[in-house]
Amino acid sequence: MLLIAGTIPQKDMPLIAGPVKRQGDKLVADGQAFSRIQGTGAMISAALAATEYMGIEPPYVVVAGDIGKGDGTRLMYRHLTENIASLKPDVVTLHYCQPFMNLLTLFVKEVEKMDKPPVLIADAGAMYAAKAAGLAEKFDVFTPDPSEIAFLADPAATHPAYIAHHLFGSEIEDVPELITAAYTNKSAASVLVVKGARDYIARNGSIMATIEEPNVPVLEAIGGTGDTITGLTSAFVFAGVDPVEAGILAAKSNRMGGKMADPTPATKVSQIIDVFPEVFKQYLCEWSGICAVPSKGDK
Amino acid sequence: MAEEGDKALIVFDYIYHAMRAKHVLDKAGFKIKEVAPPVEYRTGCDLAIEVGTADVDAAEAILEENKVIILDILFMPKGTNLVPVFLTKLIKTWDYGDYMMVRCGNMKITYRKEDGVIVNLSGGG
Repeated sequence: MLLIAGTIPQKDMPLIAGPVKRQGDKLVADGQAFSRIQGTGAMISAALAATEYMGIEPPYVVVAGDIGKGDGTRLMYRHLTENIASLKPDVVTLHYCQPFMNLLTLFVKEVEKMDKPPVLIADAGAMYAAKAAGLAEKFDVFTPDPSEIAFLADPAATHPAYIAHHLFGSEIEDVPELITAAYTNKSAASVLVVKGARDYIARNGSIMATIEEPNVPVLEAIGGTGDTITGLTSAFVFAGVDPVEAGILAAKSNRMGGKMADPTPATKVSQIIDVFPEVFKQYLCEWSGICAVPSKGDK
Repeated sequence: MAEEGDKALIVFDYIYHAMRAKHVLDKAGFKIKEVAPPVEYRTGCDLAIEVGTADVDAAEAILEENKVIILDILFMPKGTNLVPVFLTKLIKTWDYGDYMMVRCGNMKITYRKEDGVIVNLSGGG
């Protein structure tokens, strides 16, 4: 099972837990519909596109509404902590939520009790909490953007807003140094997939790959194009791909999707996600060796 | 004027109000600093405004007058060392022709120049 957990910026949205499917321009789980246009919804949508293409189980999602008050984040962590042992996921990806260190710590403790702990992936609020609580090294993959890698690199920071003053100007050329600092400070997961104008994939302090083609600068202006990399990485890891290779495939697929969608700054990320099946069809076999896709009748 | 080290922290629920507060107080001539509140004072918004304690009442009045919603005002112990946050250094813009992207830390807003309509939002963690 690929379990994806996060919050949606929607007031009074209840906790939703269950396998996800797409219905029109929405995602649906546990009989409830939610947006696939931004953030956790875009991340789930990208993961779903990849699992559907590869003919594997769709993501199981745990999502709740949270407009910054922390209520949805609490519901999400409570559900995860109480149910992780019985759900027995292979991969858990934690995404947008309030960075509550105590709740993440309780969840990680439950994970550590499992006979076969899942691969742990984090981005956004969950990644901030993992770093601030000193739990980064318990995670297998983090997917920061350049400002977030600056935050991971700063030993004094507990949130990106608290990054030391000298790091505010951090630009793309600083990323390799920031990656080294994040590992030195024990604030990195085993694998880092740093999403930006140039994507960096690192493992245990060493940069394993950089991806910068195709270069589609307008993707920077489209909300959710980093979230899709996290979703694709999660799906490929769930399919059994090594996390470094999964990060490389995700970065390449995302860029190619961006190119093929021919976007403007007003394009929605869902329009790029809709191109992913064609990207996989044309390139996934060549890039990864994932060539034999089971037909629906084979399931 | 407040004594050196005698300061108060105006905190907000949302970054929108914090940024408007900076604009209003700057325009009114208050001596302020944008700071990241200490962890124990975090409220959900990661930007706070530091003012001298003697200026608190006047600052509060002018913010209310301008409909800037304050969550709380905290009087800080002397010697509290807050991390300055320089909005001018945090905010960067990219011109995409018909569109403009404004980035502040890991948050981005893209708007159409013609009518100011926001077409994309990103980040925030």
